[in-house]
Amino acid sequence: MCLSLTVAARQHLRELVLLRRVRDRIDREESLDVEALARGLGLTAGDFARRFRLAYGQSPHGYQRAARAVRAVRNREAPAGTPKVA
Amino acid sequence: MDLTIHQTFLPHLDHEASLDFYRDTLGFEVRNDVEYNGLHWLTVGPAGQPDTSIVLTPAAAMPGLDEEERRTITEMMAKGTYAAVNLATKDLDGAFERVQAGDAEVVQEPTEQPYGIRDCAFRDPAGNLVRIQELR
Repeated sequence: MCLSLTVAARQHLRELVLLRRVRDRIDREESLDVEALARGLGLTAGDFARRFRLAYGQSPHGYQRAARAVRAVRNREAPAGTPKVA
Repeated sequence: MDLTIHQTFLPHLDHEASLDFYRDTLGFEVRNDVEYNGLHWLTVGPAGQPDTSIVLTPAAAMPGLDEEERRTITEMMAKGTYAAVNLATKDLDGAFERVQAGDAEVVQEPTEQPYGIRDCAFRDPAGNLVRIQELR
């Protein structure tokens, strides 16, 4: 299947992988510095934010807010989900 | 009923890259390798736990998908939004060190989560999220 991908499609997938790494970083870091994240990809802040939105459907800040809201729900459910050694 | 969780599936894009990760980095044994038209279905799992396996499956190879659906699956894997697995160990720090030394993509170092678990996370070569929880 991969062999049939066009050069453009491969390039697109490579870009998505880079955006995924940035998104993972947003998930684990408290602060969100769009300028720094964009620099890491060699993009302007505006271009990075546009590509992030195309991939994930919301801005980096919007994504961070949504991800935090989901984690907050999980925190409230914590006691039932705590793993125990059998 | 007496059901066990026997096999579950994770997609791969390159069976050799995924084998390097699951066999050489995580230390899983390879229980089966089925090849068809150059594609590989690899059954892997931890030694000493023969009843539970992960089948590493060629991404989007199932019949009945149209081109757009295949593309969507491949894009979601690249974006890291498609598939995930949670593993567990009593020695989280040791496991983290070994997986990190295997050059895996680190998502999160061992962290005490507010929801009562301690875990770390990696991406496998296909972009699947592999989270490892500490058993305690």
